[in-house]
Amino acid sequence: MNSSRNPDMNNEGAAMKSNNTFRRRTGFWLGAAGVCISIGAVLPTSGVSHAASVTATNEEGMLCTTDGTVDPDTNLPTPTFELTATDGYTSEPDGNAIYDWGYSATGAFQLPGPILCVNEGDVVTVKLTNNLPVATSIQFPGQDNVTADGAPVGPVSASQADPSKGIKVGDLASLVPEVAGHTIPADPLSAITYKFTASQAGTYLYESGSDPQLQVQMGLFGAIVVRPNVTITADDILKIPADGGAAGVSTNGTFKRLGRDGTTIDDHMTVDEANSFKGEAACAYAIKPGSATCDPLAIYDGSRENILMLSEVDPGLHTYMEQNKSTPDNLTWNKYPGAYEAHYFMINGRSMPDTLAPNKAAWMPGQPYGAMAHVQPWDVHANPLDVLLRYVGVGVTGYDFHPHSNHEHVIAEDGALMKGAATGNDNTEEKFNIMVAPGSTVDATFRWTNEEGYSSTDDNRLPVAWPQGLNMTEGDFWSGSPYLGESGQLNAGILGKTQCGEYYHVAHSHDLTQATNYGITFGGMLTLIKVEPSDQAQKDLKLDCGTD
Amino acid sequence: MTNTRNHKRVVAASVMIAALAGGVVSADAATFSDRTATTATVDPPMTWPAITPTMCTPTDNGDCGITLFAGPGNVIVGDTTATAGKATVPFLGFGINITDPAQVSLAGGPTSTIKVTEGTTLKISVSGATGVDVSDISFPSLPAGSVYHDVADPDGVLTVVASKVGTSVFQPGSNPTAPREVAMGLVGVLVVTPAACATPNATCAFDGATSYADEAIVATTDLDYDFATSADQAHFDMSYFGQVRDANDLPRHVYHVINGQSFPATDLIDVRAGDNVLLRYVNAGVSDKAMGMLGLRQSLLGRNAAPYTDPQTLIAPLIGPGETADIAVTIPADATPGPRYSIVDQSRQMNHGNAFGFGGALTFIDVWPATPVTPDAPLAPPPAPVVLASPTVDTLAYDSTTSPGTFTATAHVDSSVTVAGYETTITETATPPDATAIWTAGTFDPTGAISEPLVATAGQTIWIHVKDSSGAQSADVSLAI
Amino acid sequence: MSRPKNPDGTKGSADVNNETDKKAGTVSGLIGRRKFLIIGGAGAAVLASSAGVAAAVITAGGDTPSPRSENPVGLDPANGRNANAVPPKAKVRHFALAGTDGWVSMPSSRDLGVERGARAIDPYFPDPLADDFKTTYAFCFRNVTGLDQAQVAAQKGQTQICAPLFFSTVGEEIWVTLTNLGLALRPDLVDSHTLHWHGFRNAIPFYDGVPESSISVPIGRDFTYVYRPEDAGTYMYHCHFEDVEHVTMGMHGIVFVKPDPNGVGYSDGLGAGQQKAYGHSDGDTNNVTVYDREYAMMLSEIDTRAHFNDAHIQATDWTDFHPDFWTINGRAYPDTLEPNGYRAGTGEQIAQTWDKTIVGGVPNLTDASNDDVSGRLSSNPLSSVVWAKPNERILMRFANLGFLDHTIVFPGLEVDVLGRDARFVPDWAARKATDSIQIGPGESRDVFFTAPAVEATYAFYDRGLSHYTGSEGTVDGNDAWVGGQRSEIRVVAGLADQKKPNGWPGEIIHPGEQPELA
Repeated sequence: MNSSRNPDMNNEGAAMKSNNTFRRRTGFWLGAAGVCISIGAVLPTSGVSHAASVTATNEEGMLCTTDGTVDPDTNLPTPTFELTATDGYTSEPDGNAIYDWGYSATGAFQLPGPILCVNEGDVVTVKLTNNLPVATSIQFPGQDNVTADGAPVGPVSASQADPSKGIKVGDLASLVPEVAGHTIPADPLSAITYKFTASQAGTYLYESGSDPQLQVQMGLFGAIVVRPNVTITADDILKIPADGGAAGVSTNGTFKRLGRDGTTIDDHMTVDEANSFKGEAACAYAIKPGSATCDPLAIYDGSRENILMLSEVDPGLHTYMEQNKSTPDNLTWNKYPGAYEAHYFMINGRSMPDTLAPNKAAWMPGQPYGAMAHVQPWDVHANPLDVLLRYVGVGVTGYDFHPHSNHEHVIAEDGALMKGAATGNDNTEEKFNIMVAPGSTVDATFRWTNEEGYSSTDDNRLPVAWPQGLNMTEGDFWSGSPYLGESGQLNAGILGKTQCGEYYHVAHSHDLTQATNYGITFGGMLTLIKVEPSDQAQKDLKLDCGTD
Repeated sequence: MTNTRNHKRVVAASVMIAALAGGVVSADAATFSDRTATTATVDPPMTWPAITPTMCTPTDNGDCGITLFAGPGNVIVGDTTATAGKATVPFLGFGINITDPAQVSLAGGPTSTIKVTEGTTLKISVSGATGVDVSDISFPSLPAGSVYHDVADPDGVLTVVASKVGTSVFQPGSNPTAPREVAMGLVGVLVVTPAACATPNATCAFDGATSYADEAIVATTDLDYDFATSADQAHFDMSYFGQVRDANDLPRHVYHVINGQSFPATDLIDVRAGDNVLLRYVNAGVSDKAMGMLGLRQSLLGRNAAPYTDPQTLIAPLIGPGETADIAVTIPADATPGPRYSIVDQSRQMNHGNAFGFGGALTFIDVWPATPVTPDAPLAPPPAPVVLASPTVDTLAYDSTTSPGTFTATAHVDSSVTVAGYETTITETATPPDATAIWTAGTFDPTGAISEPLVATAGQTIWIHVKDSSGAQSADVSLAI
Repeated sequence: MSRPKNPDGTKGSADVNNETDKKAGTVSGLIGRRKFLIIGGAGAAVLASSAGVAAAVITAGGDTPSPRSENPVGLDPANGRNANAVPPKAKVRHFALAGTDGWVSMPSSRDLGVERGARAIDPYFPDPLADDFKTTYAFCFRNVTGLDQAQVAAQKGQTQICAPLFFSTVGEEIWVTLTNLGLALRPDLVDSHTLHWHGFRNAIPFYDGVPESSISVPIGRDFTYVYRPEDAGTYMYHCHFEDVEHVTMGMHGIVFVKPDPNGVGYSDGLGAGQQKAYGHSDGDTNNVTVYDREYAMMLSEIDTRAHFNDAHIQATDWTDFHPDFWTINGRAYPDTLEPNGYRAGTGEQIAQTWDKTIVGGVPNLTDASNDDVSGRLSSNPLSSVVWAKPNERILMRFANLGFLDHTIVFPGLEVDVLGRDARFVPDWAARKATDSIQIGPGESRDVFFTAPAVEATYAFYDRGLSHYTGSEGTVDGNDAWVGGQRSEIRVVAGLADQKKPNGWPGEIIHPGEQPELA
């Protein structure tokens, strides 16, 4: 398609590329069985059923929840989502199970809440039904004209609030109007309807506005992705910044770049090539809000769109809330007798290695979103479209997220393209560390270039041969060969989780205490970037990477 | 609504704060049952510009003389309507031009802000309470040449040239106890506005051409109860300062305040629908703050008194300890009146020393109707011009110790004008110009007399008038030397 | 999926010598055939070594190739180059690092007195097991460039914090041979080590140093990493093996890349003795990153409980990380003000002391003794004092490999942040004339300022003012800055030129610090 208007664009694209991934990935998951046993599945989850609008499963990439409702009068799209706040369990790779609260589009507990994908200008309706014992709500930072049951949102005084709730501080009960808790089983669930205008494309957070210190920590958060109404042209694609993206290096319409000797490497894509990529291209931001022209900085591969909601969990706090489920007055931050201390750190509600598992992995019913980015070597002619990563900071501290193997190109923060409104200056920047502040979002594009093109063919080998056997310690995500698309013999005991000589690069919080599961390394807020051989290489080498 | 807090503010605004320094946008306590859209027909205690310019006492060469005192104070944090989570926390604060040591305040409080226009030379007489080391007050944002102790000022008057426009902090710098003093809250705010701001009664950030109808300081401070009340701070384990848990993983009492108050005692920020508002975020604490605003996008104009080329639109700008961020927000013209837009540290520490929900560094932008019921008055209304009622020259004393000669001119003035702190300046009139005469500024004498040393040459005729800070000027009195 | 290939990872059989195949015997399964050609009969040692008798057979160093690596320390890269390998883009600069453990020194009142030293934290600090005048257990990288095998082996248990500073130039090929000497105090730990060049673009996993997705270096072995940097800037490196532990235990340092001096426009706007942080091809086409002196500042923290636990065979819950020292270049104030130490040609670590005199523009440094307290910083060799002549342009390269955000303030200096994460920041996006920088874990900043015209000393420090332990002294003799990230910028007229990054004026380049291109 040549437009990102279609809310299902991502899902189509990813489905197109990853039919076999699920089987494959499950395969290597069995190889890792034991670290990813989930008991979440067998623990009780409560919830009522709602008409859900979750799109068809795709195994990797951002999994959108969309709705095609159109206002019969205005004929304008008015996406409508029915969310239920309910409780349930998530699993940790070390075997722990955590009691959480979450927003669900199906009534069945999930964490984080659904990723609501809408289009710029849509008037969005979110009906929140509360199946929790405490009053709760949703705040929509960055959205405009937010109303609750028709009235502009604002702080709610306790006198207006549900008396059953525990908070009585000053006069403030909630940052936004809320819905009463469900304490008497016989009673029907209460609901509240929020409306807002998604007036600017971007990545946004939604979270509880009631006792947020507790309720967001308990899992009441999710993401909203607002897509621009743009048509991507071949000319836009020709203007994607050059490899390296250094300021002043990119020349409009070409991939010219300065070589180290200062000579210009003029390796640009043809208009025909640009046209051929329009179908796979998607756009995160128009040149300015409301415009129909996509900003070339924000063009990405529609099948390579990822979201990383970064959060953390204090298991002690969650256990206390679990034990006090039936005592609503105790389900407030101030009633927790302990001191907050996070021991688990998540991406999309999962900790490494669960972050690698496919979307909707059967063994993690409450944690439907994976977080492994997938990329093929960037090539101006064959693979010029970047991966998009949407970071959402749900933590109580900033997270410093470090992608290995290349800088990421930060194009937007808090739903605003980093361009001078008046000057048009390009303020985007390449970072090898993405700072995601609390309550903030960051959008970044990523590409990996096989810079040296090392291979086992003559004159392309590594400059230095390497030790063999027990003279090196091998990792489970290492193919046995340093060359992309090649594999080699592994020492005994190495699990060999690669499929086709693909590379794996880690991406993780560089507060390394957060890249652990309760202190155990190679866990927590960490995932992998899968670098597989190009489609052409897979054909030439007869490789099956399970994705084409 | 019981607006007593407001009224106090108004009174204070017109006299005390005007006579003192700093102050934040006038505001009322953050309670929510007091006013709804329907009752919002009362004017806010709105005064422009919202941050009072610092009252100078002109020095001999016309610089801006102020006093800066550093001393202890106490703040009640937590839910003042409840007992749990409520605590009285000692702090160290600054007081600009204060007459009572008890008037010190935390960053953003009424007495800890210096606001001057670009290029102003401040002559600061620094003093501190016993045990408070004020030997090195640091203005980090100002280049070295702009902050110095005058060699000719043996009494240690600190000269500070407001050479950079914007918002920044001042705080103990290199003295051996500085970290603990700052941890106790000893941080002030320096606001420097462009020499010329486009609109009268408005304020400007970095660019004098862009004015804002209203402005406010939003300064966060982290208070640590155990440290603040420790009998031996020198040996307090600072690695636990501001931490939520102690060595035994038990909760610690840490408080986060805005302008010296914790919610719900924090000041609301009064604005009018349609206003273009300038917020001066100051992180006076020791931990990162992500100042999120619910309902509006914030336009970050610059940090640390250094402007951005391109303003950046953010929902929650991250501000490091000791850093500042000047941001602009536009209140929608159709915004519904009421405390509408929350401002809160997105690290969500909305509690009182881990003891109560909804407290801490949280406040709201309080929207008032677009059209004022009565016009706004400037914050510091100038008193009636000081009039030299039928002035007579009493004495002309000749001081032979100096040459060509120092004379003292004394004139009677209307002794009913006794507003403290107002500058009374004797200046030479324009006609006839007297190139050789040098006139010095002076201070008002409540008894109604002006006593000024005048350096002149015998035989000159000089004219005297009295001018107050508003520029109102009395008639001229001639005086023959 | 695996296909037949030669043990060195190459395909085909043309380069296999059947003759050596026989000679090699079972060794061929463990090492490359071509490798065997190079190392001759030494192959016999392999089997012994692969049994893991690490301490006994440290074989890096010297001109004789190691049985376990074709490119041991000191080997001329010209000989060690893989046949049919990518040709070098330029000459090769060959560093050698060794990973081991040992004792470092944080400011303790035991050594510095109650007014300058931090009080004891029983039982963690000073660690009762520590060597004389040392306080804290650490892992590290040591620079063993140019040492022979015996000298390298002798470095086991001789740690340093933070890791050695090394740098390269765009266009060079860098080899870094990493030898794992094992842990002298913890023979029970069989940790491998790796080198992760944090931020290096388009690295292949093989040279990225992540054990799980690549390989790592077992005890007693060595491995040569190869980098061909194309982008100037400030990076960092650290061990990625059990990263949270190895990094905070000390295996972290700064590596930076200078622009190609032969690159287009490099000499534009360059005065005598000046350099540039970024070249035209990095985007600095207006030559704004010119500087006279450069200083690298590695920020980190030390949780003495965790270091104690590693020394005393105790487990640490890393999510309970609670630092009590906050370091710049592996030192906490007031140690930050002390001179650089260095590594002698023999490998010995030498601390230097300064008698506060400056002779001919050169601070008068003398070697300290490792037998008394004057040598207590021999394992914390990197100073963070910034020396500048009035009006000189100074570059401070900041990197943070701690676990906390740090906000560094420069009172009285207007600093320009012209580089972030090894990227030049264009004029309109640069943060100029500001007074402080925020830097999170894993980030880097290139901070420039012009030294004021008047001679004076300026402080720079972490404004997170809870990050100071304070000295043990009573209020009168109490320095609240002790234990934290605070250092000085000393503006003095007539200083001698800087000969190396972080070098004090006139301070010489010591053996191994800057290996020659080969």
